[in-house]
Amino acid sequence: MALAPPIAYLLAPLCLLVGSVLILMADVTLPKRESGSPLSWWLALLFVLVSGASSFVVGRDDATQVFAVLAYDPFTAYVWRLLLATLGLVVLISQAYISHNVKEAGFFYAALLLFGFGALVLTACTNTIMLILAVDFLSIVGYVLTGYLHDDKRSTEAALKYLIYGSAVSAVMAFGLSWLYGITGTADYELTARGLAGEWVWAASRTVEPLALIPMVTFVLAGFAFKIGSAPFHQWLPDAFEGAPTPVTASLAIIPKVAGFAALVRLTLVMLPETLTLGVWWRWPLVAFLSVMGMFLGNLIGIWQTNVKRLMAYSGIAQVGYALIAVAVATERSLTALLLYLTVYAIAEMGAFAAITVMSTHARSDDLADYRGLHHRAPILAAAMIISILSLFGMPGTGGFIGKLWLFTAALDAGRGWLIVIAAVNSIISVAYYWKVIQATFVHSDPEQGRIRVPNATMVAVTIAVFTVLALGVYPNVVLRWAEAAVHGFFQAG
Amino acid sequence: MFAGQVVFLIIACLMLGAAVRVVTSRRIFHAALWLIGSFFCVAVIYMLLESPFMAGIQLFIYIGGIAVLTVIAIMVTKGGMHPDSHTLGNGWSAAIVSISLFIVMAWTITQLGFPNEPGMPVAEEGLALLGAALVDPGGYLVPFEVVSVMLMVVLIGSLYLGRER
Amino acid sequence: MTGLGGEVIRTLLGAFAMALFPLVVVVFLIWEARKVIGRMQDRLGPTNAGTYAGPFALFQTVADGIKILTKELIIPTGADRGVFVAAPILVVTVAIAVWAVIPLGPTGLQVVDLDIGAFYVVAISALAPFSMIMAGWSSRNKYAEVGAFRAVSQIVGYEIPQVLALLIPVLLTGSLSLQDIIRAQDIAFIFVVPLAAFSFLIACVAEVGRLPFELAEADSEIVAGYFTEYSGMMFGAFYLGEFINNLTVSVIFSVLFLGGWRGPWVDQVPWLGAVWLMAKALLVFNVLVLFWAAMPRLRIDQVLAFNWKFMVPLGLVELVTVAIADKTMESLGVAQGWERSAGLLVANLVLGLAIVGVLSLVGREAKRRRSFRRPGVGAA
Repeated sequence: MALAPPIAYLLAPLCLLVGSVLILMADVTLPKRESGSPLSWWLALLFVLVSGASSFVVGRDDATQVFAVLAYDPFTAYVWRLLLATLGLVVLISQAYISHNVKEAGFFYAALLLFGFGALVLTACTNTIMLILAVDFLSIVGYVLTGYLHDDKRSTEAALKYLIYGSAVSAVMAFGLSWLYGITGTADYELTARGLAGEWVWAASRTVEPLALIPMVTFVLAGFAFKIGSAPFHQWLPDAFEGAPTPVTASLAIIPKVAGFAALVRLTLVMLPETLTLGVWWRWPLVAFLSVMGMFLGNLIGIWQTNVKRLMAYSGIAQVGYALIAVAVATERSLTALLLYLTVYAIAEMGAFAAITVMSTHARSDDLADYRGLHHRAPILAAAMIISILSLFGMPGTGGFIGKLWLFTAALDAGRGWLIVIAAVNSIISVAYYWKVIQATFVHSDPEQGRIRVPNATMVAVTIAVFTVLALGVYPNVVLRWAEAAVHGFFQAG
Repeated sequence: MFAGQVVFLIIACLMLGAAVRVVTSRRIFHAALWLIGSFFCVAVIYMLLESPFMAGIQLFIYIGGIAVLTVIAIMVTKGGMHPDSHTLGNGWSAAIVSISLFIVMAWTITQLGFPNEPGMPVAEEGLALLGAALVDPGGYLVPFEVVSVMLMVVLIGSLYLGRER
Repeated sequence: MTGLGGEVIRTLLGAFAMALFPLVVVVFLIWEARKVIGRMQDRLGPTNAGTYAGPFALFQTVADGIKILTKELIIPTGADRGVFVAAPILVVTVAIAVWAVIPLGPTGLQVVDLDIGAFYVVAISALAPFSMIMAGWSSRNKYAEVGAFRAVSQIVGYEIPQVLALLIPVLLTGSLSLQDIIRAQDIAFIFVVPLAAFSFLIACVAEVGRLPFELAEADSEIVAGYFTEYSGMMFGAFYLGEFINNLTVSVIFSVLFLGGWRGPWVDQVPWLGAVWLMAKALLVFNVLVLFWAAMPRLRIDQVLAFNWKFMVPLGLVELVTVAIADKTMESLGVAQGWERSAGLLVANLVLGLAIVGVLSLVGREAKRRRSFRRPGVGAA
């Protein structure tokens, strides 16, 4: 099958880039309207849609290297569409919050699109230089977005913590990658893998003792762990989540994690395949350790949280822990399960954050106590919250159940039963805090408080999210088939 | 060859000395100046490796850019210009971390084994190759462009976050 | 081995001679500048009346130098001694280090012909702000500190248009080597890309802190800026460093835009190149001196706004215009010779006209706004 010209494969990120530049220009040149200038919002929505549509221009099964540093294949396409869907939902839920809290909305939406751009690029990298750049790109836009409420001290503090932590960790990651580059003389994933296998090194008489590089790949993994918000590199996460504007929290909870996982999967499969001693070490003690840490730390600390955003942060840490099982196993089946799991996770988080955003616009607080009686103040939001939380927990009937089921069976197939045991124990621990949310929204009631008006755009987002979560719980086959097709390419050649 | 080694040793010692002074100076401004000295020694080492362009980059970016920024940040920070402002908050833990990092790196280097061949020949027109690689679609065109977008974000973002409110 | 040894010795000697060269030349340039400024201000300048300063007081600077050497070096009590003493040394070192790559003639009359010569100049001058920061900080004097702040913000800012303008000769030549840039100037670049030359000159004036950009040492505001506390030979070092820098930027301007050592009979007599180069540099230097004598001092906010709102955009637009014009002509088959130069000149003139047009529009708009505001203020 004939391939399209290379630029056609990059249409999706380019659309986001063009969109953000247009928003910035419109923001500067056109006269401001009083009510928070929804023009930039419309533009953002439009360009996310165009970007999503543009990913259908090229062939469905095309797999090609674009400009030597990016890979476009079904896997990229799948993750791109997931990211763009999430980005669209984030734009939908931000409108009310942003026009309420922020004077300069134009740059916010531009930055949001650039955040998406960074995530798309990160998903597709096949080159360590591009990888470190994409990670930094995503982080830098993240710092700006986190500190966007610059009248709010918490927001600034959150951005500062994120910045300091992030720059330290990306320095560590770059350091690790520079060693790999220095030893193999190449930044390309595939050539690095060959170099590490001893096939292609710049000096023929150089021998590479694989175990010597374990500290270096640990540094690389630290960078990933920071980006996907996994314990023990999670300290910035609760503060950033709490301080950031709520729609930003929503995107921080999903976009870097999904993109980071995609990049991690590609790096694991292409640069550190199982045939390398280093690859084996990477999977088994390193990634598995992260996974176990994430599950335990996230769930145990989560129990004590009373702020919804912090609670969601710890929940996210635990969820990343579950998902890392799939990377530690890294079979075709487990990675299919990972894509499904990430999809369900992203949509469920969107549902929850849609509700949280409305609440923080309305009540100007994210305390769990303010959620009392939500079921009669805003039934739709309460329903969205409950369904999302149940899905995150893994209740049968929701998408979360299917995701976890596939994940666990895939790990079991690969003979990692003990990881499943840990995950199951943790799922039970997680009931403790998920129940707190359910209790607050449903059980208590506070008849004095009036109804909450849900903005139309948020309503659309909530409906889409809830419907998708439920649909995936009942009939996951379509998405599952896409995920299978996406992952298949990695295992075809070998 | 021998003269080259002597010069290298001298420069390396100077560099290490400057680096040690960075962490032991009691005034943060002195620490910044020693840091510049250390950067300068790195530039000299690039010159010894017959890579004047890298040396220039080292001077231009690290001293002309990063160090100037550091010094300006110190100058505008409250109390940054006064003596004893360089508080060693977690001296011991920092020492432990850096010593263990050093041990790990030293161990890694000993494990790697060095090639026996003489060094790779310096490419003629190395600078032109470098320039071409940056704008070649088969080279680093995309990273190069992504960097420019990133710089734009940094510029606008820092303007937004830092402006008077 | 002897060949290598000879090479090393030759380089070292050359470096020594080249380091002495600006020091010697500057002694007479100071005299020249004082004379010119004296005439501009309807004075005589230094004379030898009652002294032994030689004909036309030619050796006045030497006498001043000897006097300054014998003066006491005063280091303020609160000063940070190490840094305080290191700052003037650094000033002179940086000022002289640039001369390593300056080609005085077609062959041989250069310490080292680096293939990154132009970049080396930029990289070395990136060190210059540190001497000012060090001096300003270590003096423990608020005027010195203010001066250092001004100097740094000005120099760091004007480095950008300077580098952008410097890129244009590099772009036209296709090389960073200063020798190659000179060889490419069959027509001096000032007649090919006058806008680049203009913005390079302005940026250079700001870099060396000559009036109207003389804020870092504005004597009516902050005593003497970052070297307020210096005396004796350390003050002399700053004074000398400043003049060397003036000479250096003049020479670099001549190399980049005036054809460097090129001139009649250079092919037959190579050392004549040095004479031509110094003549051109002297011309540029005198432009700086005339600025010095004629211009009032700007405010720091004006200086910075002028840089960021005018010089930097101008540099960017000029770079893009030249690049596009050059590429277009290349694709049309006009890659060399005077046709190319003429095309670039036309592109530059069109751009210059466009800029003047935009500026006059902006100016008219600003005037209109001011005249709107004025009655309002009066009423209030």
